[in-house]
Amino acid sequence: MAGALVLAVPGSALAAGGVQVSPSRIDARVKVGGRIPRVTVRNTSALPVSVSAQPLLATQDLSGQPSYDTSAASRRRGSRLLRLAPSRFTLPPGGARRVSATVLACPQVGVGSYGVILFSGRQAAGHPPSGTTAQVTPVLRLATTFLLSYPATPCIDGEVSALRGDQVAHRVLGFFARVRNLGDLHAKPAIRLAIVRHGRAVFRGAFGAENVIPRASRDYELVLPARLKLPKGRYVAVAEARMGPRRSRIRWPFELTGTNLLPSARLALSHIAVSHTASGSAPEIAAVIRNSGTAPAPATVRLTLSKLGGSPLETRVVRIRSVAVRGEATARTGLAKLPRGEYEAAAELLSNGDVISVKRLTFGVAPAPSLVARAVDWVAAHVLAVAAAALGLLAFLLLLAVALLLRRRRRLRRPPVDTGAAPRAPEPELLDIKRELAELRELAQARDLAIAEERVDVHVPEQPPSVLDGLLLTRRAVAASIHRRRRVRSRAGD
Amino acid sequence: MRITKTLALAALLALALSAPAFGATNASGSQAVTGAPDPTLTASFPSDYSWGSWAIGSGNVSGEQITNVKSNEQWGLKVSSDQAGGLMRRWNGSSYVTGQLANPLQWANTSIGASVVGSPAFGDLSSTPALVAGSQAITADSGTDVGVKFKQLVSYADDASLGTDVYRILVSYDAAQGF
Repeated sequence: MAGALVLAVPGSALAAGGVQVSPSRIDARVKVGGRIPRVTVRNTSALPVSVSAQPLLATQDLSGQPSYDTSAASRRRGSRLLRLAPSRFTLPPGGARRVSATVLACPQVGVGSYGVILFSGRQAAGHPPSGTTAQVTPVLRLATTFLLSYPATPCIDGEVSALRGDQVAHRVLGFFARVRNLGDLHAKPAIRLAIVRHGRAVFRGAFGAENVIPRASRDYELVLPARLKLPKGRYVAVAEARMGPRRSRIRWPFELTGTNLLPSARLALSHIAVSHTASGSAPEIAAVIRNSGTAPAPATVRLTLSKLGGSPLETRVVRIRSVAVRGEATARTGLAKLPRGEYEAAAELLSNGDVISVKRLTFGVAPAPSLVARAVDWVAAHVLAVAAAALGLLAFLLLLAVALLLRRRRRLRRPPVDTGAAPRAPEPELLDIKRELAELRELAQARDLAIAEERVDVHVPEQPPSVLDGLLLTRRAVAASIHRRRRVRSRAGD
Repeated sequence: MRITKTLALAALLALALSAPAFGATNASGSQAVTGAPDPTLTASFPSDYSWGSWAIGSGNVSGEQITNVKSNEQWGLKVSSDQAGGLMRRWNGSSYVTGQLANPLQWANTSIGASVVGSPAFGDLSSTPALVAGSQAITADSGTDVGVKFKQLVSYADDASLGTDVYRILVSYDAAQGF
């Protein structure tokens, strides 16, 4: 972008050639746990090509082509349907590799599953030629479309997706295995639990056989017998579930802080709030999570904004590192500016992807109110405080008025002071008198009574009453002191 | 009598067993040979495209990028980018760093096989695949070339002091056969 003439300079950093997939369409009858025909991927270019393979569920667009997205959620869904082996490899020039796929899940649409295995190929990056301002790097993606049809019998499938322990009563432990039904019929999974310490099972038991319905997750609870005393230490809980042809397993390490004592978190959403809801402002959703358990725990909250009665407009997932014991944490997110209307904010507390607590709040977005309207709103919202403050101020003013009135009346009753009869001595003179009295006091204290006595009759000029009183008092005190000391001395002489 | 009966039975059995040998010399037939080619799709890599200097404005159009597709079933081609909004980002040679262009890279289909698109319609590139060519017929062994051009609007807001960095984007060409 040096400001020169626009010139497209194709830089042939890579050799031509490409990738081939075969078969590029698979139409197969399958069952869960079965395999589909293998796909051969071939490098027809003169450079090594790194290939990654990803199954994705797809719909169909109007041109008949598969329509899919490559988001993380979409990739997760695809990986739950097919397991590819290998899913990443590098092909030398002319090289080929066969990729196998195992069906993991029941039909996704009717009695079929539809999608693509997307093979993404990239050649080794070359260095751009000098003078390059921008580079467009191509990735070649070839899709093998698949159409999988299943037997027209109910498909039973499910897996254990989470496991946790909890202090269900004093010195009593309970374990919760969460099972998700991935099939199209309700079923009772067979779930077993083992508590392992130092590689040895210290407990084995089975969860109750109860139904979980299709597309739902539920927790199965197993309370350990009270007679089982597990001492302080580290353990691993292992749950194994069998549902249809699938066997699944999950581990949960935990530590007991005493015999049958398991610190456990207990998270729940406390409340939800939305701020900055004037149109033109960017609203903010805040959800408060409370931990009433005995162990800190991380929290994941999904915050969703929807038009009231409509589909979600925006969804954010907020992860909180740890919510302290007996503490709270706030999951907060800002949103895009919203036009006028009615909206709903929802907070969902997630545990292993499942929602365990929900709070919703409806709010409206209106134009920003005028300054006067805001002042009125503020007063309305704080009417009690405003009234109390006004009363307080009124009472204060009343007391002040009474005090001033009383003072005025007292002044009126006092006889007039003859200020002209007591001219105030000039300041230096007063200071001299004070200094003299101070010297006298020192003489008396130094027992130089003769001199002190001689000088005790300090002349005190006319002063205003307050000043005069002070000086006379001081002189009287000095004289009394001289007199007292003289008596003491005379007694000592006798 | 019993010996005579046994000999007659053996003679009849020998005659019956020898009969197919006469038939084989006169038989004629045909063998059915069937087969179906595997659906196969091959596509070629367009080269990395290195742009030279850009001028301010919207006249920055790339050379035509060709993807060659060979398919024995109806097929289609889509294009998308690794950046959701199609904005080229600053690249230090190994990773993206802070900085991106103000306007998205645009693309347009310029040719399919021998057909040249007279007035290519440029649209913003995004991470959602956009159809370049759909419902395309089975190709010859030489395949079908699909041409795409890119266009970049450059403004004064775009930082020109890049040093050794470049602006970069990954463009994915998705070739697939229909369901």
